[in-house]
Amino acid sequence: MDCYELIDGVALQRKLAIPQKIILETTDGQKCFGELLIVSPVGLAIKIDNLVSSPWFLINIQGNFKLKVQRIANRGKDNYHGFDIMEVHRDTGISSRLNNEEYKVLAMTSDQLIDELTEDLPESVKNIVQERLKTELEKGKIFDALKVGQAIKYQNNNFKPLGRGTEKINLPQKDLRDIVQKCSKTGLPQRELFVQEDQIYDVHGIPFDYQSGGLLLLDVTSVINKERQIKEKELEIYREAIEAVTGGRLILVGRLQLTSYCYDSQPDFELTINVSEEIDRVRTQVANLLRNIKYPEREIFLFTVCISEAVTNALKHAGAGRCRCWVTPDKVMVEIADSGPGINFKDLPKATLMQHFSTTKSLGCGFTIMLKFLDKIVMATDPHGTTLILEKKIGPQKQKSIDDLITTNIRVS
Amino acid sequence: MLNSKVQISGVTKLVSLEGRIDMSNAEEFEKLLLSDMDRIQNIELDLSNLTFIDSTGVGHLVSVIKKCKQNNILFKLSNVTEGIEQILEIIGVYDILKLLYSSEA
Repeated sequence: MDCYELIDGVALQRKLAIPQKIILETTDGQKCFGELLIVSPVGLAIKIDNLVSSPWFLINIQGNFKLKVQRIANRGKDNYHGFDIMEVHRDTGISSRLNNEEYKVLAMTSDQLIDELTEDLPESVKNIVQERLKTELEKGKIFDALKVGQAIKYQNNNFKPLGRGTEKINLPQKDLRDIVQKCSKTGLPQRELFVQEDQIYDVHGIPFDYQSGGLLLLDVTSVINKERQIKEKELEIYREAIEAVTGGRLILVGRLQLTSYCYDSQPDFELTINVSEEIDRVRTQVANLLRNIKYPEREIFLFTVCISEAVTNALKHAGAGRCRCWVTPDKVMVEIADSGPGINFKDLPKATLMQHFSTTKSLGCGFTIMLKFLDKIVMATDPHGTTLILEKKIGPQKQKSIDDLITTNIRVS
Repeated sequence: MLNSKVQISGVTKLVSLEGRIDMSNAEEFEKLLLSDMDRIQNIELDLSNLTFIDSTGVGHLVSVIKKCKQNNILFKLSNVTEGIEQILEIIGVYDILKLLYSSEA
């Protein structure tokens, strides 16, 4: 069909080289998605698949100006509709038709606009300016095509979305203002992560000058979730392998599962260790508790060695450790937690099961001793720290032989 | 936490330890043993009054044993109590001693 018949203003009608996606808002706030095909100063031809009826519509053009339009009832066909421009709302006021600049903004592609605007520049710089502007434009187009983000320009505390990013990110203005303020204060780019309704956003603030700049909002939820899944899978593999090799004695868990292995009652004592001279205080306290219940001296000695190993690891790798101890009629349990960098999963077998004098002097040996004498070790380790729960049954002891299970690998070099 | 008595008679150094060895004093313990290396041929470490050692302490002990071997000094442990012996056994100190000294003994 001949679209040109849809609207008035024939002489100045212009068909867009690339249809522009726009949103029409009805008087009761509903939204219709359309493609702008033809522009004249007094009318628009728009392709709309699901047009609802409304006395008039509002169209927001890139946040710069608003058009109030009315459908021309008898001229539409299929999904193609003609609209009369009733009012043009702009900062400087309202008029009934598009002015020349607005018309150009709508009718021309950005490339055409650049050509037009730079037409009168001297030949010597024209190409350079055009080239520069078009390069900037390409960057913008690439960003527009991204499905995960949104760019916002800020100036004097006003936020204006840039581009036609399909995804609208609704972060609280307060959070955005905080970043903007940091940008303005420091003059440096800022970056922060925000969590909003299960979505995780990576927000970059880039200052342009004292009071304006850009914000880039990226939805990184899927990336982070994927990473979590991989980590969980990894933990699962190591958990099974280590449990099998230690005969079920070393159990790897996630941080959240820790509580189900620990008593939630008040511990018999609690102690934070910051220097190596204090390790003995933990050993002495636990030993005293065990002596009170007549636990054999030899077992007390071995259990305190295990505690020493765990606390020493915390001090060596995190600089401090928090200890809690529970003694019940059937078992003694000591939890040692640190805020260190955690043990990398791929180092776990080596760290827990092998003896290596050549590397960190005692890490491997520490676990060998603990696995030999304890009934159970529960371990959670991640970049926020490592927690060990050491457990020993009290009462008749069953002789267990872990020598068959653990590789003893001594290197003398 | 750790008291030590050092006796040197001729080319033999006898060190008696009393107390505990852990991260807080293991380095000091290693230094104590390694002094006088140039004028002795035997070291005997008497552990009868050592009440505690963990893998950090044993690590430094092994380091001493290796340096003794390098300097042709004969290293000997004596009066090891039951609990300490178990720890030395698990970490493999006796295996190391055997490996280093049995071939020439």
